[in-house]
Amino acid sequence: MTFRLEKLIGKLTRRKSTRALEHVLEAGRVLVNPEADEILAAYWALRPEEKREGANQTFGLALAQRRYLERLKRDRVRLEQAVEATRKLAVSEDAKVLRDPLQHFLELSGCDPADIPALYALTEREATSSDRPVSRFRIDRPSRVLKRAASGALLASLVLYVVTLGLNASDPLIKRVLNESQSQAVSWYMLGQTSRGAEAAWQREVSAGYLEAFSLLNDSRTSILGQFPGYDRGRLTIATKKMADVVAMQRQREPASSRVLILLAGLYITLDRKDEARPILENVVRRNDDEAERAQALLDATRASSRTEGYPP
Amino acid sequence: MSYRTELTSLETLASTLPFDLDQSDRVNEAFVAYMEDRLSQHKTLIDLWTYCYVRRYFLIKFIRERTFQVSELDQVVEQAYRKVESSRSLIAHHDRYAQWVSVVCRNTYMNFVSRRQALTSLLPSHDFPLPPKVGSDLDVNAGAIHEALRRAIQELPEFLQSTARMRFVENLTYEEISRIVGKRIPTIRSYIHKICQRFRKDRQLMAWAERLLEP
Repeated sequence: MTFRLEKLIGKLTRRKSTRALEHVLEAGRVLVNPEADEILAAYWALRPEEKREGANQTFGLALAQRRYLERLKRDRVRLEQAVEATRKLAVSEDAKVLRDPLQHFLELSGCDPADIPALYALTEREATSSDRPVSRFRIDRPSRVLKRAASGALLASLVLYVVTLGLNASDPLIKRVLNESQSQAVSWYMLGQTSRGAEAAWQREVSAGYLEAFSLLNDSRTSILGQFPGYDRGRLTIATKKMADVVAMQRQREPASSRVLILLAGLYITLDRKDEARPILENVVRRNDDEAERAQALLDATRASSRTEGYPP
Repeated sequence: MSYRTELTSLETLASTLPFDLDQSDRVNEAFVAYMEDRLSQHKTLIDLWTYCYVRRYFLIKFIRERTFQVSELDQVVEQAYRKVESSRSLIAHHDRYAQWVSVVCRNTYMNFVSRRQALTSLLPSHDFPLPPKVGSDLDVNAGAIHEALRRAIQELPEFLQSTARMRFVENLTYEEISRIVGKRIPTIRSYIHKICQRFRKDRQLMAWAERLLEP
């Protein structure tokens, strides 16, 4: 009797497991099933763009996304569905009440914003063998460019830290302003997002420029066995030049972000080129936006340090 | 803030994670690590993934259901996030954290829809839709399940991988696979049997499978 019961339980368990497996295998195909495109239009609309640097796309998902985009080119109905999903993302009257995701996240979690840029480094250091795809899927690992882009924020922190030291490490105001700036670095200008809904090609060009500038900034980092972080002055100069070029390029068509301008000014100050930093900071102060106070604080600090050094303010 | 700018910010925030939002195996590994060492940086990682996943979950639902008010999005995201945060230390299987969060989101969403329907039905004239069929949340989780399947295929022995991919991703028939790989159909059938046996032992895949079987 017991034996029969066990056999029955075993059979039922196997049946359940088979049913479960069938479900998941079917679900695993949904992403590449043309019939499911309508259901997935919002999902695809929310995926990072395929070639967007900094997006942590996996090979499998990127491939599925490519297929989806190829389908759209050939199928007018699906294209309309996709356009409709994207249209729903458009501006709506009452949408202004939403909070910025980063701010909302920080409020909810109580996390220290300074920890966020370190996330990438944390898991890279602790990467296990399971992170390394076996056999042919090596492409699955994030490319060097992506890694560089992600660690660009770390460098931004480092640069700002250096700036802080260069100015006056004991000045709590400057420290606070720069700490706040670095917490914003990761959320916005790391990817070189333009401030407005500019045309895609232009936005890509500007984004690519910023990514390159951050990659160069990253390359200028130095350390001794991971300790005593510093920077290579020559490389930092090249990175600063690149950053200035991108900012100039962006400003031909639209204003550059005040945060980027503050970062650029910070780089100039680090390189002891305060004369070039001042007009940039003054520009931000004139804008009188959220960053004006930080810019003013930096400006005051550069003037103070110039006085100490005997230069005209 | 519009859905469009919301999207850009969410994307940017999610791109600070060292893995894709849909890589549930990596998320689960990170959660196991956090539960073992309780490091603050692991906590930040888990918190950030949780927030981004929850936000994206509800954003997708809101995009699909245009009748919801945008102002409700923050509230429902907050509610789900708080639920996850307060109960996650109690979950039995730490290596199924991602799947558990998706269940919390689904339950929160169902409650939200029911509550909303109850409220709106009190209004004199309403043309509000019936609660949407939540089902298995494939509109949100298709990517994560696809990724789990792909990982499971990668972990198969080399000689089974291409067959598994053709059968379970490309959805080819036994005959088509047989023609492509140049092996007899009974051999392909035997390969598929072996593949399914191994899939049943894959913890991430089966965690999603159990999730899909839930009512």
